[in-house]
Amino acid sequence: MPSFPTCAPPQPPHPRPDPTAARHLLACRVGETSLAFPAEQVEEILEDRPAARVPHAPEHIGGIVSWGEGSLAVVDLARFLHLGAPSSPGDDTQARARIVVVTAGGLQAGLRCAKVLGIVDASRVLQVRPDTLQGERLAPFLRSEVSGPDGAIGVLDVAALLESLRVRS
Amino acid sequence: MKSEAEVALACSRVGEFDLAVGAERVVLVASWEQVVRQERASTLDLAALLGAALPSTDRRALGLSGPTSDLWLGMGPHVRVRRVPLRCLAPLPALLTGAGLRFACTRVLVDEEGLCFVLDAGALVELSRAQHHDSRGGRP
Repeated sequence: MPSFPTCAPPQPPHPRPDPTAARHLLACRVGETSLAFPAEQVEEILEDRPAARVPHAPEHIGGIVSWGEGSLAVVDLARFLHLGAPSSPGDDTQARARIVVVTAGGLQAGLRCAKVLGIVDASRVLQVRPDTLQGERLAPFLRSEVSGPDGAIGVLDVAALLESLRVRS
Repeated sequence: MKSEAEVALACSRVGEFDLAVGAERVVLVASWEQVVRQERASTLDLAALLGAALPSTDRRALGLSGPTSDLWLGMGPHVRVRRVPLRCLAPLPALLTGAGLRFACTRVLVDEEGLCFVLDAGALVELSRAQHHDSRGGRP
């Protein structure tokens, strides 16, 4: 029986740039962690506001608010990802808190963030595999990391995040 | 009686909610505690409540009966009636459809008074039937 030479797939060097990575990122503070969303998946940034509680929804669903001609589910991202105290209306940091409206995979949500840090030009920074940021709940949703002025910023897989946030019947 | 009547549950103020029969464009207000209690009891006596609150000309709004049983929705004394502009109805966010099914909600109403959940009366009837079924240990 002829033997064929085995050829292991080449291992990518670490860190490596992600050619599919977003060009611009919106960086936000979520709890005690800096996270970023691909800018093309960000619809709008809203000032934080009280949300109507949704019966039978899990705790990380902050509620529902009117948005445009319809409504928007608001998610306490810090609570969902176990990233420290969630921001909520009435906190001292309320003035800086924002709801970042994102869309991916046919789903949409307003993600409550403690603060919007700004736009990151991803073409000027190296996106690497997640390494610095830790967290059992956070890890499945991290696409990559970039370096920010205050440390690593985790780039979120918004589609995976929204799918996981979907409340099942 | 219209089985396709809808009930909207609104939260325009803290601790107080609106109930609306959307197809008939009638809205009621009731406390959230009452709604929860009645839901748990599987006794939803809306007809009795509307009978006390509505003018006789609006009695046609008492349209909450399902294909297999009637829905009784009880609310209590804090009731008001107003028109619901159907153009203000929007789908419940897709993220929350699973939660909405647990209280018969697939749409929301957004108007100048805020945002409310729109409940489907037929689905409420079925939820009530299921609760009765469960409370009897699974016996129909």
